[in-house]
Amino acid sequence: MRFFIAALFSLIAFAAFANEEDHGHDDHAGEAHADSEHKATLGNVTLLHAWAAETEGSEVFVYVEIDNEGDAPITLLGAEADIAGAVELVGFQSKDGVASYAPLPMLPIAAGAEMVLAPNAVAFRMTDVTTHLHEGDDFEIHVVFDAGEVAMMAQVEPEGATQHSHAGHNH
Amino acid sequence: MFETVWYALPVLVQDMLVFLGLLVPLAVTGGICLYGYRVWPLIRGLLRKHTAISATFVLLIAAAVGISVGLIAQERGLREGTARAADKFDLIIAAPGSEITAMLAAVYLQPTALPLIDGATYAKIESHELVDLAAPLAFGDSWEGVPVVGTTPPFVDHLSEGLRAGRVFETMEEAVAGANTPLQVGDVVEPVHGDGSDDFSEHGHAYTIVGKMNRTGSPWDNAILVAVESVWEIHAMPTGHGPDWDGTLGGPFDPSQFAGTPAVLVRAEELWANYSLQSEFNTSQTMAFFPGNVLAQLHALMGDIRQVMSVLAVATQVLVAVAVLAGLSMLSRILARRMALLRALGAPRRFVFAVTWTFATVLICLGAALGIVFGVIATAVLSMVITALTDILVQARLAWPEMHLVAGFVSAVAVLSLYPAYLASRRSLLDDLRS
Repeated sequence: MRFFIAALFSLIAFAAFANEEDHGHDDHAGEAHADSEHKATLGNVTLLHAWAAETEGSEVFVYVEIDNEGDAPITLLGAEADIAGAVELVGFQSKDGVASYAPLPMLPIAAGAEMVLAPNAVAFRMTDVTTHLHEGDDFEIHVVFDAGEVAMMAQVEPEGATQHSHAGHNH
Repeated sequence: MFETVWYALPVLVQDMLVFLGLLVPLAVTGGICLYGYRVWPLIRGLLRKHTAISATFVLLIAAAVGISVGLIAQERGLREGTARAADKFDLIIAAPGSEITAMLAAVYLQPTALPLIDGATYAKIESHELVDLAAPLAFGDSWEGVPVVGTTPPFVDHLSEGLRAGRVFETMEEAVAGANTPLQVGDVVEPVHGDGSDDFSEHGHAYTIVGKMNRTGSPWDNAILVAVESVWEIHAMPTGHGPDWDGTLGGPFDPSQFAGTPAVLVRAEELWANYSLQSEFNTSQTMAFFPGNVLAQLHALMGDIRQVMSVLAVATQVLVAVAVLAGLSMLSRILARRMALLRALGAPRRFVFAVTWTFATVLICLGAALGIVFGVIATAVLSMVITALTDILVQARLAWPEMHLVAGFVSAVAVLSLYPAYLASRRSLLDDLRS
């Protein structure tokens, strides 16, 4: 019995092995960058690598890495974007084997913690997007916290991308 | 405009429209071929006359369709089954390492050596204001191949949502059995160290089964749950409580007496709180992850495998379709004399064309319909086998994607059948009458 479970997961685990990142706070341990066009700050909060995948649809998910380097918690409330009719903060969930995204009213980020908005996790869901996003495009997004709002540029990555093309780089 | 209207439609309506859309080529081709003719009496006669060969074609098509739709449905069922098995595991916190390894151990009970979380870290998790349930897990023992897992009473309630029989363990000598174990309330088990397959050692500690869980559809159905304190104690470790402990099982634990745990199940009532906790406990001392998210990433990576399976399924159907068309070309020779007689009686070439095309399409439609039945049976049997082998409840069912595949197949082959029908209508009348 266990052999079959092990065989099943070894297949998918093997496929995932190359992509899986071991945990720890070494996400930015790679090559350093001098540019700061993918970075925004609000007090002690740093936002890095906002991105979305290319799509022809009117629903677009936007992801970003948020690092709360301060000594007080902050709360992420949502985002706004001119190219979308509405933007909401959503979280991935799996119920009865079926995956979906549910709206999140807020998202507290503890002092010193990093919140990574990513596919199959937390995201900003833009709906009624009027512009078709193509790889290489960028668009402005305003990320809203309880402590204020910060604007930054989000980059459009290829269709089906799972991370920003600069993910793992220092800025 | 079209996109807006389309996405505003209910999913069921979208699926039905796609299904009907895929059948449009069949309807249009049929409408053009059969316009002005009544071919059904002749088709029924041909089917009666050539029952054996018709049945062979139908079974061949049915087998191809059945295997294809069964495979695709099974893949989806397996994906949903593995995700459903992880439903109860909202957030797992473990020592830094591989999420997949920790998930295999905590959710699917695969024996794995994991680093341990210490008492201070566990206390921080347990006492966090957003945490509604924190349960340490302790693995390593088994009874006759059935894993014995140490945890807390609230975790049993969370996992089973009430018990099928009996009650949750209240002492270190009591246990709760998973739904698929052969154990009943009142049975006594004596676990051994490891999986019991080799080099095992008796602990000399017996548990009395006092409750049996409801079915969860996960490998936990084939496990025995005991107090985590008892697992620590029989391994000569502190029980997690100080000298003035009153014997009440579960938290809060004394950090200085905490033996360590490879994984902690954490649950917060609200989804946002779970994500907030995940962010907070992704540190250099701990990693926090949602098994559902890890599975979704794995399933996304498996997308390529799924595409290969779909291509193989379509390739199988195309190969069978080609074989069927080749067979129909031969069949048109068998029917040649009858068709020649029809033409000699005054039937136009288009009538012969219509009869041959309809005959082929009827075989294809019957084969596809029977193939769906085969697919349902194959899916049910495969699901039972996989569930029995893995303890992961797989409930694969045919759904709209399979129906779309079948509709596309029927339409494509119906259009391709125009060629043998054309060949049949172009045969030499005199040669066929003489043959």
